[in-house]
Amino acid sequence: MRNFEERKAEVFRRSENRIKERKRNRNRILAICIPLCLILTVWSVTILPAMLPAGMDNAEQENAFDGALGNTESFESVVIMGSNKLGTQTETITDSDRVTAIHCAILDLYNAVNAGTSVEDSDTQKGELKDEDFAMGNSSAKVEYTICFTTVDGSEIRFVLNNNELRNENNDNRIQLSQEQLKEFLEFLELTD
Amino acid sequence: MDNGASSYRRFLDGDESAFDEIMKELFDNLVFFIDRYVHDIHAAEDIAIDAFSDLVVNKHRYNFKVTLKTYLFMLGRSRALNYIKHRKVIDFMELTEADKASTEQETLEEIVLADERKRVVNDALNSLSDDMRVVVHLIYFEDLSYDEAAKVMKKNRKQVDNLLYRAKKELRIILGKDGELLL
Repeated sequence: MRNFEERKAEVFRRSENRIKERKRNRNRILAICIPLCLILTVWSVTILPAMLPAGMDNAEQENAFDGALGNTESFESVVIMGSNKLGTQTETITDSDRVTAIHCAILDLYNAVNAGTSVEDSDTQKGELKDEDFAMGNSSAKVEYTICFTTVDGSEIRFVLNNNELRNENNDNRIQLSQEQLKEFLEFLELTD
Repeated sequence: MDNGASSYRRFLDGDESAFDEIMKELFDNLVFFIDRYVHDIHAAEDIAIDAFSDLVVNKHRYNFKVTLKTYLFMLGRSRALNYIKHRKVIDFMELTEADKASTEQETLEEIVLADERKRVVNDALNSLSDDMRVVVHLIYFEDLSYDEAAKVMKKNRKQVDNLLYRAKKELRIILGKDGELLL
């Protein structure tokens, strides 16, 4: 067996070796991890964007509509069918700007109603639509229109405007329009009663 | 008596002589304890050196919640069990070396077991199971408390009580009635 001094020397010798080994292992790990992180960063910045599907950039994503309400750019035409006191009307619109404008108008109505505010400034304070606003108004005739958007691939998105209620037939999403909103919408569609 | 904790604190503060005090106080006891597991005095010494080097390398792992002796014995025990696990073959040694190892063992026993009574008990311990032998060693030879012994052996207090009870019962048979008084 070793004497005291030998043991002490052996303890410190082994300790030094272990500390050196630990430092060596730490350096080895850093030598592997740092280049790996750099490679991953370069790859995610340069190669990964090229691998993603084309088309949807941020601006488009912000303007992307709820799937059930459809993507404006994919519409080919819109058919507006309806009946009011003047009779039955059918109008087919293929002008892409007009189709887009009608679709945006419907989306604005959904957003406005869901946000609890009126679409434009009016005499009524924003967000405080009164019950009489939702009343039928002076006209006693029923207003019913079907607005049918057709996409380029042939599928349809249908909205039904029944008096004050605008309903998406595809997902049964309904909103109640105020008289002011209804009037403006019908004027926009050039369908005044 | 804090079993080396204050010396270790001084060592952590930079006083290298404090480590000498810890080694002088605890090294031989640790070797003797580890030898209970490995039954090889040279291997026990080696393992004890590794355990002490743990104190130097991992300075802040010891949190002073137990005595330094208990902590060191915990390190020694775990290294001893690791050594036994990885020891694949039985080492053969020359007869002359075996004689030397045996002499060194006896010398160590003389150092650690200055008390004649303890030597008598020590001789009887070889017939006990490993756990019983270790628990008697820790409590009787190393003067650890039951809780400290439980920490070293990674058992609970109740288990240590049971082991000690059974060990005494068996020693009573080996040593006879007079032998029981030695404990």
